[in-house]
Amino acid sequence: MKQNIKLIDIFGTDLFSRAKASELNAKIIHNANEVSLDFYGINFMSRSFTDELFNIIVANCDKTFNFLNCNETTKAMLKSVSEGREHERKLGLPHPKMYKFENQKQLVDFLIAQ
Amino acid sequence: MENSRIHIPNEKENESIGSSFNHLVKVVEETERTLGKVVWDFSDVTFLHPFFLAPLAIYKSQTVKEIVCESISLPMQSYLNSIYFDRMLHFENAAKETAEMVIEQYASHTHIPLCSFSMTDANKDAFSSIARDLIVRQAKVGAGISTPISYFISELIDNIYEHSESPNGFLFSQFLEQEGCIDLCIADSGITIFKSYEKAGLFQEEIGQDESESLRLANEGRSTKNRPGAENRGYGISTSKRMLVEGLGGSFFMLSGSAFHRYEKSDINYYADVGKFFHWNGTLILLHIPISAPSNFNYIDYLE
Repeated sequence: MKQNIKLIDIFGTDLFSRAKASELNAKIIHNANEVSLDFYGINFMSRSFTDELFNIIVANCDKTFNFLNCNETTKAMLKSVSEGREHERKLGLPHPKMYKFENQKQLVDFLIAQ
Repeated sequence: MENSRIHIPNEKENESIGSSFNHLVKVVEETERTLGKVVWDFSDVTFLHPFFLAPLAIYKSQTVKEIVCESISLPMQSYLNSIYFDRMLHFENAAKETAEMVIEQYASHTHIPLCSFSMTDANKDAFSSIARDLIVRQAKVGAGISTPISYFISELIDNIYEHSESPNGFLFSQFLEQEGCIDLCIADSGITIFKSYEKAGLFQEEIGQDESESLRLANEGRSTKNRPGAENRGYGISTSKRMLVEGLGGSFFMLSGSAFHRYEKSDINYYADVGKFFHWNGTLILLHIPISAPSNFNYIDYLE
């Protein structure tokens, strides 16, 4: 059985939060074997929403998922999160400076000097 | 007992985040030290920077201290009224249409007044969406900036929801036309980042008692909720920050408990502990967002 879910009908044009994405699980029909998620009219999808969306897909691994009508930024977000879940994140950040101020004057002097 | 009088400093429009923070520490620290009623004296004030004003209002709304504001000039009083300095606009599980109607009144202004919004799932998303739309309309920015703004608001508010245990979030935005930027403040009054790691029992060896270390870990994307090999958490703050500072040339500031972090293009990137003399209840994030993106900026490049 095929199921088509228009995301705009459930969430509106913005897919903001992780908790919102988890609501999608309840919308997926138990005996559907192919689920198409239609992104028509979606302006923005957050990283948190996308990551939770992939959690739902993993939890429904007996089904095939298709993404329809994605705009460029939605496509990029899906690709980025999908790839990010397969590899451990390499932080590689330069170690920033760490300061400890003992009193307000020290802080004031420091901030003024910048 | 005589009231204690604290002078609110006058500020400049191009005040740096550091300077505004300096003023905030001074006023909050003096207020906290005072017993009994406190008078905030605005007699010197002709301008207040959004990055001083918004945290000051949040502090005032959360403290148990009795604070009275005096000697406010008429234009300043009018501005303070218009931004709801004394009593924030509160959105409690409001239907999106209701909140939209209230906020719509600000379409022709350059600011979103000081708002608190309850941290329920539906409410925070509806509020985030309305606030984003209004910020974008007020500053008349195109997709090049509106998509990053959506990213900042969604990730930072979702972070509050996931980690802070705060009943409410706070938001204030001011478009500064002459500077060509939007100053956005997002905050909570929940447990600090340090407490969030402590509660989760994670990275305790690295953090110890150093709150600034907990800020560093949060900013590097070490989530308290990640399930290794499955989820992809912890990107919200770090990616927002990179996109804002490295991509758009803006500034980022975060204050949580007794530590703060500052990241700006001009080689400013540090964490600091101020626990000996200052503590902030919750977490506060300030974003200085330029309204025109550099020609080589592409939102997609910052999606790690």
